[in-house]
Amino acid sequence: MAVDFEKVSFAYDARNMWSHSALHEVSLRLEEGVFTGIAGATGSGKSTLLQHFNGLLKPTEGKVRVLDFTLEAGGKPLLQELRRRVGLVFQFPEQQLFEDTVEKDLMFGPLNFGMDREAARQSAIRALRQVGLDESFLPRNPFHLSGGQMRKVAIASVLAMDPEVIVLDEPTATLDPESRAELAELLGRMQQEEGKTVIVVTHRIEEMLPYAGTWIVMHQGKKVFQGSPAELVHEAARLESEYHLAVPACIKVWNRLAEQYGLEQEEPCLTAEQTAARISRLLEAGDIERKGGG
Amino acid sequence: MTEEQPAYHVQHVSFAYSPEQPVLSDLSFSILPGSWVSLVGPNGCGKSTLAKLLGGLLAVNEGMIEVQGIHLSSATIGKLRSHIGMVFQNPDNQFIGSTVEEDIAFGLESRCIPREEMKERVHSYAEKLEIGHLLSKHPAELSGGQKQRVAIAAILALEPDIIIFDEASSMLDERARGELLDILRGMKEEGRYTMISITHDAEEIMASDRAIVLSDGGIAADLTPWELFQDDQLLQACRLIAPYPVRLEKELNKLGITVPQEIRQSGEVEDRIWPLILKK
Amino acid sequence: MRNRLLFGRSIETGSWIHPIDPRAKLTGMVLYLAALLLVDSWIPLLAAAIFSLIYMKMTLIPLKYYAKAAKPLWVLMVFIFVVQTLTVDEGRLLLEIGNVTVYAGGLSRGLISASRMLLLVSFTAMLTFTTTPGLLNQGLGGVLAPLKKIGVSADRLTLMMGIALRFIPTILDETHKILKAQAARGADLKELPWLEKGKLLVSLLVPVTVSAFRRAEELVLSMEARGFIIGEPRSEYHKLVWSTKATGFVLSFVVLIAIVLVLKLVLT
Repeated sequence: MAVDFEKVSFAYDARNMWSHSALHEVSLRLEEGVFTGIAGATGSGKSTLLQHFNGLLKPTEGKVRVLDFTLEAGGKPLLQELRRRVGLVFQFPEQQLFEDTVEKDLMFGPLNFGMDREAARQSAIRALRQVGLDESFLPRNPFHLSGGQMRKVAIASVLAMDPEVIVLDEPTATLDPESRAELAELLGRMQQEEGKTVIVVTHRIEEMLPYAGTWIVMHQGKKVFQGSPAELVHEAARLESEYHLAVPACIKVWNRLAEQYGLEQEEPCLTAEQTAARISRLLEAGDIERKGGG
Repeated sequence: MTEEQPAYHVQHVSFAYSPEQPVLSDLSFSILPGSWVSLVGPNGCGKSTLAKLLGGLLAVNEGMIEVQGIHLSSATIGKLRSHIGMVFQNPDNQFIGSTVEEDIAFGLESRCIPREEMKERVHSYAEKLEIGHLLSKHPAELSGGQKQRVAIAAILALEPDIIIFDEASSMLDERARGELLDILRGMKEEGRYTMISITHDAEEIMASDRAIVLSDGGIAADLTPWELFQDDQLLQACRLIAPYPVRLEKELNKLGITVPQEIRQSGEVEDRIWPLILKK
Repeated sequence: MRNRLLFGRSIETGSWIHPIDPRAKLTGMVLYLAALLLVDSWIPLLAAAIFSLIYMKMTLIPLKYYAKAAKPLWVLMVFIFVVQTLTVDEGRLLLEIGNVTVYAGGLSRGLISASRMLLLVSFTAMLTFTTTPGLLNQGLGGVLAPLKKIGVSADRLTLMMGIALRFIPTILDETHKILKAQAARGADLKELPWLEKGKLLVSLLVPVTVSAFRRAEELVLSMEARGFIIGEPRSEYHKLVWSTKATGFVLSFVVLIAIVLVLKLVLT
């Protein structure tokens, strides 16, 4: 079990007049080595949830277990080791870069966790490769890179600690569509090829749909859904109407098709290719008459 | 000014921040009043610079920009400024006032509009953008989507003819992005605004009338959004991905299933597919 | 940790103090400062404290908010207390450890000075609690307007004030976020030894400065696009109205000064 939340509640300073996105009795379990997508609108508590994964926040009620660490209200576990094993990438991580070379920034984490310089350097190189950049980036100034490259370097700076669990908050925000797709694929590889546990917060479900095996939907600090992609597709209409979940077009198209032809029991087709092929088969089966010119 | 006068007439415009690195070279195009144009292209292609030139925040090195028939220059910018509004990417960094009300009023104050009229405009445009109940709020109490609505209300309150959106939706979540798109569509329908949006967002491009594709400081293509999303090479060069319904239709085409022309011309992309595959 | 949110934020409660002309509030605060400077013994301090508490209560804002406003300056208050206590050699000798001596007079002086500081900081928070920054700024512009005669531009000053008030919370928020990101990379400010703490804070300067400059640049563009030109005439959205309450408000501070002065005279 990588992550196990037992009725976790978190309240920002309760006496505060301004309300913040808190958590209310969130229970969830995530297996090791799975790719999880967490969806929900701004203010749904996603970011608060993430900060519990590596002990930046501790629950005010309930119990959080991450790997073999337990976090409870008042408890004081060894956070340093937890933070090495659970890498947390914040939103717009490029804003945290501060060194004058990519190499130094990448080595910052490993050195903090007690690696010697040579090992830290090796980690830096490995992390760069993981995000699809090569060693030639090491001596470069991170502030002179393009937006997409800076984002990748910043993600690599967390990967350099070789965490077992990687948690990312909106990793693709503000990138161009092509870079978004690349980054999502990269994260997918991280899970499939290296066996990492990957947890991604996103409001664009479509991007992570090809990779995520589990979905969680948050709404106003509560977990309102957890299930497989197929279950997400089945419940999409309800999640949209009750919790204003932004349901991507590919799910809507499939659900409309499924409703029309009674395909609810099938594994949903969620890419344009698969869906087109399925439609073609439906047409061939003579279920519908082909209309219009061919 | 007649109706036929283009909103923008750009002739042989070049621009460089430093002589060694030209950003834009020899651009020429016109934009009709009341139309909605998307400026697209990969990062670093100069589209944000072009937006600043069109908004009069930068001056061209060579060539000429005419706004509604008037040459845009340091002498005319003061007067032309009131015709052009700009909405930027980061909702926080364009929130000048310390409350919603003050922020909407900021531009009106610059224009020395009398207090009574200011109050009226602040309230009516806040209502229009559905933020009337937030007037006394501090920006820290607002979501990104709400702040972006404030930014739009602040611009609309100045009653410009031309509005430039510089990646205005890119920092918003999906829901807020959808809502912003609806606001833009509504503005388009009103017909009183010429709109220019710089964006990577497929749906936003699709909602506009025309896409100007920039690449390496020049115009690589000038076409309808529909044509843009059919051209895989161009899409790749712009690092864009077509909206899902368009991709689906393309895949259907590959399998020999085509959509009749008359359906293609009308309505939303998504709706084009349904007549084809739904049972009667 | 969430004190940063108190900075530059008004809290609307609908009290009679909220709508008072910001110029009156600013004048009141200056008079309050003058009164506090005159306080040097316990009885006038008590009078000032009672006066302050009554006003704080009247704003209908919970007292703990005033306490929170003073919290960031506790180090300064402790410092003032320690220095005064150790340097003033009056009254009975209470404690002597080596060279360090503490006298009753010093202790009392230290306590009074620290309390004055506490009162000043928490009470003046009333200004920002009851006035939106925009109004406050406009009020400041009004109070400073006479400076134009000696060639100081109040416009620029209030513009800078306004932008600072608006962006300090944002930048603090961002700093906080970057600190968290560094903690996630194994450098937790809370757990580091002092020297490392210092180093980490210095390293923070780079990203925070970079981002502040980016914000400034975008803000300038946005202001320019909305027709702002520094020094050009502008109309004002809020109308400052000097009510009888405003006069009363200012007069009450004059009364405070009078009370403090009388008490001083009576007691000596």
